[in-house]
Amino acid sequence: MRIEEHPILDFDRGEKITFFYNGQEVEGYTNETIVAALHAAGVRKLGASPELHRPRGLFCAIGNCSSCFMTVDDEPNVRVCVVKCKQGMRVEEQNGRGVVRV
Amino acid sequence: MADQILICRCEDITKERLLEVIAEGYETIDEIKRATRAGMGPCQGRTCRQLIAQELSKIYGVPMEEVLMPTFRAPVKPISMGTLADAHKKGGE
Amino acid sequence: MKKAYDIIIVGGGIVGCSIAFEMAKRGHSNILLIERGYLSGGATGRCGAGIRQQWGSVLNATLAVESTHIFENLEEYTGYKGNCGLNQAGYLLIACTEKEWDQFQKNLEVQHQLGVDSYPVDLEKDVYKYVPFINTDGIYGATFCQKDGHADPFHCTFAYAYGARQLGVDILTYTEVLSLKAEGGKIKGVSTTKGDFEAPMVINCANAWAPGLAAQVGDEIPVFPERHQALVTEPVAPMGPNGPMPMVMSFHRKFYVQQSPHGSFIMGIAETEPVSFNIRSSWQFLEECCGVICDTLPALRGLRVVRQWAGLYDMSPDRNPIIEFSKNAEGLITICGFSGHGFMVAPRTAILVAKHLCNEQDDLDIKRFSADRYRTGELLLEPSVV
Repeated sequence: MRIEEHPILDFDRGEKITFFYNGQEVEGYTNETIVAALHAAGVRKLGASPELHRPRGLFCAIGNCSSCFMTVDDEPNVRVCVVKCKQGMRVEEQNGRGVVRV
Repeated sequence: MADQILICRCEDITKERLLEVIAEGYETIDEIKRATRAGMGPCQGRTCRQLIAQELSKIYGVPMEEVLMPTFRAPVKPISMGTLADAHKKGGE
Repeated sequence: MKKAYDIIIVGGGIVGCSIAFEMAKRGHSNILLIERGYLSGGATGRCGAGIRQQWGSVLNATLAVESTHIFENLEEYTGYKGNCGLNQAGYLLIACTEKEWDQFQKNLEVQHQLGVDSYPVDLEKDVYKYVPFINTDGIYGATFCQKDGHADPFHCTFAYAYGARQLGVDILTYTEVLSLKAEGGKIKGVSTTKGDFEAPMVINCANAWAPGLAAQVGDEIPVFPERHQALVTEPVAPMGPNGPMPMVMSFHRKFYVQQSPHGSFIMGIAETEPVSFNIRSSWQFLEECCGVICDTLPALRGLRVVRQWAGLYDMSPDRNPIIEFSKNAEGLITICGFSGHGFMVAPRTAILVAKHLCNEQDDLDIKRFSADRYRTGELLLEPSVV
């Protein structure tokens, strides 16, 4: 769900694209962050914390807290609340520490 | 209930754990950080530092302004090693 | 807190706390340890906390081997309930010149004499078993020892302090020793920001600040402060063949880098630094450190640096510690000058000091560590140090 009408803001979402979340296709827009597209698609759990394995989602949503870490195109520890989505991106839930692909 | 409240989200330190180490004698944010790892995760205390300070302020009855802050160090936001390595190469040219 | 003790220890790092514990273990617990910040807040808490047995001199190898045995059991040894974080992922030492490689061969002989299981690693066939993604360009040879690794410098210090406290030692933090008090050629005590304390023995283990204190009674300790910087990255899953990536260290390229059990990488380089107490950080360090290390380990390029810091090496002329029994103020003992490898030899050094003070026999001769050696020329030389 996205806000379509707003009394003050005009949302320039850019073009519609699709990317992959845990292997499934998700719709997004080029000027949106990854998490905005996921949130609109109903995704709330983005990963799990390293020690207690708590399900994690957004916390600060401004790139400050590291709660939203996901692995994007094999890159671990991506703050999806500040990174924009791109056509064909592969976004995966990151449970605990991300894996660096060598 | 305190075991359900998170102080450091990066390292999963609960309020219960925080109160435990304070009871063991660790009195300052610097000491608590080293005893529990609270503040050593990816966000480097941006979330938990003030929460720990609040608890210390309550327990020791000092105003927040008087709670000793740990040293603030660069970088303010994480930077990749590759970016820094490339900057080093460029600087050498 | 009493006003008078048998011993006052100045400095709450690994050296001060381990000595307090070793003395208390031998029945001498009427000790006051004074630390001007929080325990481990000085050099101990800022070091890379590496522990290696791969040394080139019999003395250093002995100190390191015996200290490693203690680190392997530190929790039980001190009764500490926390985790001292010993991680023996091994050290891969790389040689970048023929001369360095020759030195490594000699070092291996010294290590083997002491029973250290260190060995050369074939750069073409085997090095990838230790660090799967190392760039071997320009590397002449490498040696490895599985028992090398690192520990948590805070918890190790806290463990010794805990053990000491349990045995009756008093510890005062956030208290600065301002001056030594001496009279008639004997040490009488110290003057601090929280008042005066008396003792007939003062053990001065204040790292780079120790010479300044000792100078107050006329002792000249040739140790000077040198800044060293370090950085830590965000945590990632283990990148070694069976766990965290082992330490990779080069004397020639002047770097060390290791992955902690927590997942983050801790690393540093040796830079040219003026003599100074400066422990502020520089951006040049961040660039140079990442530049140097990404050349040898390009797989780390994606890791993000989350913090940099700095601390002081207390440098002695031969880069080995000084244990000086004051001739000007009897009862004052100054212990400093570990020159960047104090953490890994502290446990055995503390035993050396405690045994001497309690008249126990020891294979190591404490007199070899006197500052007199700089006058007589009997330096303690070590060929392999970063």
